[in-house]
Amino acid sequence: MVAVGVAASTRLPAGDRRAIVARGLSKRFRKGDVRALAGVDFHADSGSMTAVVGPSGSGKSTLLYALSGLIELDAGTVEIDGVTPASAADWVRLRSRHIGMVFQDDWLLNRLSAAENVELPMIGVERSARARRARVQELLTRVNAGHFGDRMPAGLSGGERQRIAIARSLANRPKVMLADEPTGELDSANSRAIVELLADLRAREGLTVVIVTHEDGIAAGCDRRFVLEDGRGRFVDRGG
Amino acid sequence: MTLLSLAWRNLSGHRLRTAATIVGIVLAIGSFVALVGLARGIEATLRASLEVRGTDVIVTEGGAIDPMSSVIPDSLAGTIAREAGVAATSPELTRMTSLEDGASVIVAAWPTGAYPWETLEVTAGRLPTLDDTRPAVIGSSLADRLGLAVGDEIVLFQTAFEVVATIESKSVLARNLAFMPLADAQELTLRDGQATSVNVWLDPAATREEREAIVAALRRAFPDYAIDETEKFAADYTYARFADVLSWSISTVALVSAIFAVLNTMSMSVNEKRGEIAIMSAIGWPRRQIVLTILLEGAILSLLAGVLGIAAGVAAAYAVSLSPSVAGFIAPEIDLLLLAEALAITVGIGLVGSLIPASRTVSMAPAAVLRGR
Ligand SMILES: Nc1ncnc2c1ncn2[C@@H]1O[C@H](COP(=O)(O)OP(=O)(O)O)[C@@H](O)[C@H]1O
Ligand SMILES: [Mg+2]
Repeated sequence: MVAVGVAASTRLPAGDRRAIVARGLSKRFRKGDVRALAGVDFHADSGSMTAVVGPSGSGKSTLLYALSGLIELDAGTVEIDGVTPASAADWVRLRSRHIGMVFQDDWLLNRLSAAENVELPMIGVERSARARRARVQELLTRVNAGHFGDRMPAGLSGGERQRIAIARSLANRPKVMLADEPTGELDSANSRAIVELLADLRAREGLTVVIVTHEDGIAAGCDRRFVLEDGRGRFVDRGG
Repeated sequence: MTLLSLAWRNLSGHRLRTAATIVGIVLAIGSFVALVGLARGIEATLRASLEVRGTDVIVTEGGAIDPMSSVIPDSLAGTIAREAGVAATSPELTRMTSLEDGASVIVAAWPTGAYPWETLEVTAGRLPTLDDTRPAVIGSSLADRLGLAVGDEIVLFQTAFEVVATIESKSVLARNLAFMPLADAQELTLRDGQATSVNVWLDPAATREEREAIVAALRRAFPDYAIDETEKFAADYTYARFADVLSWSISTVALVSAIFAVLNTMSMSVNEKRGEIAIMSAIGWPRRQIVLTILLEGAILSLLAGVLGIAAGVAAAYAVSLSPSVAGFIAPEIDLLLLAEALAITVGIGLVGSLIPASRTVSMAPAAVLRGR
């Protein structure tokens, strides 16, 4: 399949199976003169779950930030959900509506309740406060957090907080979930719960999941495995 | 959740810091309102006291720093009275003296029977006549302060006077004045034949243009004297100018330091919110929405402080005007214009103070923050 490098907001014909197509991603950090991405091609089918693995410093996080427009690339094209963003505003729209992101750290706002944290991405998107509240309740239930929506993040466990972060990432019904070591700070039971949640979202709602992980167990549960090494990447297992 | 409530949470989450910043702004806005209000009060008080008398034009010694240090011959009044367009004139000798209670009082003296006496609103007693010895008329506030009524004795220029009347006035200054015949004042202050000013009333039928022409003619006829229309005279009053400049310079220092207080607080706030700002980017908030949240924080902070500061300033101005040393000389002039100015300045402080920190978020790289703590 050929990336359609046309104007922003151009959607591919219905039935296209690729949720993410990235070509020739290159990023060099001036500081330390690090070549974090050296011409990486990446793609993910709609509704697939891909593990991104590789040694520390190999460019895994940089790849996710490149796929979400959070860093400026030196070269390369990205197409998400059929959209090739052409401007910063396009990227903002993509992150708002098409991409959900989860990090090792949950980055919850401590002065807001769990439910308010989940509501955050909907501000400026969903105008009706009632619709936002209903969606928050739906999301909290979805991540098994219906009973602690009113609690403040400080009173929650790491696993609970990460579930809230996942609910937040799903607020505006994205098609793609980019998760950067989401279980990195959790014990094995909580890790498993998070991964099962992501797998379930993928299975039941067709979410396309890209998960950076160090854990073989998680990678083994994914459809595909993308290995990064010194800024170069390749799929191992059945080809792409 | 709204942007406003988010901004409010940020502020209330840092009570001490927010309170400290608010105190800084309150002091700045408060001193602005109090000082500028009092300074404008000096001019307004003087203008009101002249206007109550109906004086149209005031003639003083050319180049005199203030009306009280002006020295002119009292005969000048008669000369000016003969000019075209002039309805009436009266020499006036204005002096300050201290009362038994230690406070000061301004004494205005006119020839017995002269026109200015007729402008006084007598509430008790009667105006002095040539048959009285050492008669005095006192303003209602002065009478209240000293507990004096008609028939009582008041010591002015170390000499006992009899209160023959008390007067009411719209002007605070006039309510706190004492009035006596010109001859008594000249004798007791060793100023025989002298006056400090001549009050001039123009022909009431004259149009605005005609009045200007009359004043211009007077200036030509008496080039050695300062001849001013009442309003301009009050505005140019040297001490009012001093007070104006002083109050503006002091407030400017306070206001600029308030800007730095906001700048400092908002910089700290933005700095510790690097993570929040980064996650807002990651969840698809547009930059302007992020910047707006921070600006709102600064706006709430400064508006809250501004309202408190205005209240504090008004209270301080009235407290100062009631203090014995200035009571009766200055009534603060705090009108809607001054309050609007204070509020505008407050908004300015909030905007300038938070704009720089807020705009810094634009250059923050979210990825570098989100990568890990
Ligand atoms: N903001 C940055 N400035 C400089 N170097 C960076 C920055 N971000 C990442 N790097 C470098 O780029 C390389 C890839 O980093 P990263 O993508 O975080 O790796 P990984 O997630 O696989 O551990 C590393 O060598 C890292 O030090
Ligand atoms: Mg990483």
